[in-house]
Amino acid sequence: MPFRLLASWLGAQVTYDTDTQTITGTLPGHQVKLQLGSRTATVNGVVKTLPVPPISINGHSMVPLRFFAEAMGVDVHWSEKTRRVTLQWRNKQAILSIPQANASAQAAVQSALMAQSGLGAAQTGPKKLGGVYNVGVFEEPKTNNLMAALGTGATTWTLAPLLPQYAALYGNVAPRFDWAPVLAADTPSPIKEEGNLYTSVVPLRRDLVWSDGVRFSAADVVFTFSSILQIGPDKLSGNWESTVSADVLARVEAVDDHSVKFYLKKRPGLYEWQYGILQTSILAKKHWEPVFAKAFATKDPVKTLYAFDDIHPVAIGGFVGARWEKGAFYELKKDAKSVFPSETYMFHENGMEIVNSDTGFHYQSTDMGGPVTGTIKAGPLADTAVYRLFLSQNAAYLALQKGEIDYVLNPSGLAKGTQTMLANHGDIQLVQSPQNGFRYLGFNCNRYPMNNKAFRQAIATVIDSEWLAQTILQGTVEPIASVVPPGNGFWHNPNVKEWGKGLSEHERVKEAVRILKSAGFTWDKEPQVVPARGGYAVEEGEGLKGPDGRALPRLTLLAPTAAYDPLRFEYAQWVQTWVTALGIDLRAKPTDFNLISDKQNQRDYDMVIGGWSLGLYPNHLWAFFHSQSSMNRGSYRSAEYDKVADAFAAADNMEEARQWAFKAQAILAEDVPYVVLYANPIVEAYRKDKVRYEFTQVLNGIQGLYGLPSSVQVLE
Amino acid sequence: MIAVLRFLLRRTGQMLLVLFCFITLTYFVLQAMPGDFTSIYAGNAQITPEVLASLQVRFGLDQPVGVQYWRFLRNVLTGSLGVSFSQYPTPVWTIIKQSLPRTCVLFYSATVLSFICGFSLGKSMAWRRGSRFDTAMTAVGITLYTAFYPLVAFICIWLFAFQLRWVPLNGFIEPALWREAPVTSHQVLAGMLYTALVVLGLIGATYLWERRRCGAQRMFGRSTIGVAAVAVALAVALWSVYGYIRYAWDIAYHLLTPVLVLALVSFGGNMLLTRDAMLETLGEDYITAARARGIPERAVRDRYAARNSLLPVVTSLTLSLGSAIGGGVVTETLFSWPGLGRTLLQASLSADLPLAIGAFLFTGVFLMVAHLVADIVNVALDPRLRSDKRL
Repeated sequence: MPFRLLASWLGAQVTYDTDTQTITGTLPGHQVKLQLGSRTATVNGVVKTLPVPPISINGHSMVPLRFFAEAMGVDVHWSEKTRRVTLQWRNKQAILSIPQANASAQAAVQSALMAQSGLGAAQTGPKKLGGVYNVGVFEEPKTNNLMAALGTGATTWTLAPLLPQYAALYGNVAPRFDWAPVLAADTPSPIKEEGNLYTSVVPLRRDLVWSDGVRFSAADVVFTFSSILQIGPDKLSGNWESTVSADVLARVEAVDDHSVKFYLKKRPGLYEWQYGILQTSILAKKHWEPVFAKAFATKDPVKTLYAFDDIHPVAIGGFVGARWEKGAFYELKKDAKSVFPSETYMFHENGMEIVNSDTGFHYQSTDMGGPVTGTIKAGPLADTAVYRLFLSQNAAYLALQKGEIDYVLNPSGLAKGTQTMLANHGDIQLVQSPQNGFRYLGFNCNRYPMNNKAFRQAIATVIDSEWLAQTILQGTVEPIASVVPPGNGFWHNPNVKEWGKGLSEHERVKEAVRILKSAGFTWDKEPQVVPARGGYAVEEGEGLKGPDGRALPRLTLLAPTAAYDPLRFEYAQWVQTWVTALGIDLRAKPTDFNLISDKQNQRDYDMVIGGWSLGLYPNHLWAFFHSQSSMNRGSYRSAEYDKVADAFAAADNMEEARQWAFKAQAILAEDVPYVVLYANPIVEAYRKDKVRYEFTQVLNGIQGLYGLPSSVQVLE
Repeated sequence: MIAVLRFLLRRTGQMLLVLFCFITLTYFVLQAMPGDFTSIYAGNAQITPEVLASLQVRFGLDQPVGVQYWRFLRNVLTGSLGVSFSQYPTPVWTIIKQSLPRTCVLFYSATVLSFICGFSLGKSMAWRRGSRFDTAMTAVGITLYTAFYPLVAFICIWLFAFQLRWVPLNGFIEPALWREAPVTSHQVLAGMLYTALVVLGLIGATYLWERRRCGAQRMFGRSTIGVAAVAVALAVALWSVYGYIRYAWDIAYHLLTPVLVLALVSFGGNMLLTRDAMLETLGEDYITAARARGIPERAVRDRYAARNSLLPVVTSLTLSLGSAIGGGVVTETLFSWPGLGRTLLQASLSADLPLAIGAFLFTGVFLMVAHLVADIVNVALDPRLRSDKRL
């Protein structure tokens, strides 16, 4: 069991002494000290013997679960039949599935995610239906029209009340994000070559009805794609351009009422097909046909289309928009005609199945196997979801404390101060989830000396992210090494090179000097590590010259201002301190965020501290680092990497794509176009006396799924 | 009469010139901010540069600044404020119209309330100059006038809404009531504004008629009070008949705290201004003369002293009404009252140029009109200005 996972579940404080390799976990009233490789442990001052010694795997300290958990006061229950461990601590419960020895790596990752999501706990107790779910939001939707919402109006605040009304052929089912059919009945047929095009047939569900009573059929799907192609995805901008690529999709035809055939111009990769075209929201033909017809008759069809005021939307996602009281709230009502409320998702150790108790619809993934590890209702479970506008965070959190709202949708999560304030409230539950994004130090590889790999590696070596995160930032961030954060379990490569791992500050300087020297760098005065006051001090180097004898210019590190992001600001100050010790003249320059953005776009910078929020599918492996990509703002160029990134983008099955993704992450960690600094987990708050979610801990948190309106039960 | 017309014409000409400079300056200051509207997508890996570029083309941001400015000017001259970027393709005018009733209801109620309180208290203070009442009120006035407004607001919210639960926390309506409402809040707000306008108009007209007929023995005569009572009762009855009174009441209930807090921090200024103006008038010879003629004290106070000290206060009121249209970012934020102030702030921060400039232009025009009205009102109140050749 990874020590950190367990400790963070308990909320325990963890310290790690690199010299003695001792891990200490502390909870009020409990203290456990373990040493890597040693079978002796100290529990509350008493020496005990472990059944197996703690070991380090891929940088994660693994501890015997039962010993550690019981020492911390957790009840541990193991069921041989279901191969499940149940942990009960105070009011928390977690269920871990232990995969069979032959289970795939994906299952292991997924069951770890499942353990975090606390799925098992939600299973208990009967599901109550009905009630009003009140969500606090900070901005109004920009539009009530789905086309505009996915186009120019694509903000969290617009999508939150709109997306629960719609559905695509396929989707990623939370909390594990299994790729599964939604409006489709089964997986699409394998892609076939037909003349100079490629084709695939998608079977559609026969049991679905739009909120206006019209049956869902192939005509809706054909209409949606034909209309988008006719108007031009590039003109629609926003999400349309990236989901429906006109370079890939030629046309869609109905085979019969309940199956459609896609004609593609090329063999698509996962990102273009499974995560692109097939995940496009489908429109109701009867409702939208006149709207498009009117739009096509005008000079600027997109403008006319986006100006459409969709007061009475026709929905298929389970909810339907009922009222938008501008400046106050947006109300969703459960669609009485929807069959999704009687639908259940059953996650197996491998794959999943979907069962509809009302219509008899059944789907199971081809790879399904192993015991059921979690079951959730598709929902909606509540009758109404109301998104209430608050113009300040203070106002929203006061309303949460007063019980006027059940949850605050806050994409940046709770600030430390607010967490402390809410933690004392008996009816409010705080939850922490990993985020799919990272902060990084980026190099402009077009410029000297950032174009020198050894230079970048040396800088990566002196940055002690682990130490900074634990001591200065008190564990508010999670240091990471790969460009795919660990929260995105399936795609994250845990075995990438970590520069200077396990070294102390002065050892890192020595190592960096060694890297620079072996690449031909020279100094007038080399940096020295000298003993001082029981420790070591670093005497700064002077006059660093490149392998060709050229002196290094003064370098600037652009970083957001403390007001915009105190964490990145703090990191920039430390990076400056560490890098300066090497004799590099680096100045951290707090800069307005928009200005940083402009400079990056113009490739006019030396180094930058930036951040990204990512999609589920790690397409950024291609987009940020491929030499042909317009998003490659660090101008990183590597023929070897381009090959791997191309293979990744072209892969048409998950396992193959994953292998290439791992390889790409390994190369990037070695070449360091980015020094990946950290990911910050998101902390959120909800009223545990008023609502219960099917799951709470999920990648990007509850806000990542727009407040989970479908998966919430209103209590009372 | 011709002099007055010439005066108006000259003032309008000046206003147009100032307005042109104002919008040009605003335009270029906003344009000079780093980044553009598409910068909000900068950290999102899903939005590719191609998508951003197509957005820029759609919004005309790919054109040189000069061309963009010319397009904008042409829009303004044709009376169109253009289309908002952030709420594309909603016209700027529609967005302003949406938040306008909310802004007016809140800030006009507060301004009028603070003016009434400030004026009557200030008058009494000057009249009883040096008394304990005067000293105490001066201290209260200065304290409130200089108090840090957000703190006062937050304390009031915390105490009255959160702890005592007498008033709502924030917002302008209660969703639970409005989910099934047959009318929109926008309609009700507009209805409330019209009703208030009619009722106040009636009261004002009666008041003026009564003063002219009977002179001012008292501040409010019998007819004024009677008409006020009837008008208010009639309005309430009409609203009740249509069944909308509970929606109007809900808004009024939500209005309570922000209006009181706003009035609390601003009446001090009006009060002290009235007091000073009144003290100055009380020293004039004509007051002594009026007293010598045996005119009752109350009439001396209200008809002679107060009317003349009204000038600076009315000027200040008119200007306040003009600037109130811009709303107040702090008030709107703290009370979650989405008015024009927030629209302006949000638009400026997200570089939604058309909306930001549209809102600035709108508030600018209003403020300038308020200045003009203040001048006209001054002329109406002060006969000396009418005979002045320099008009």
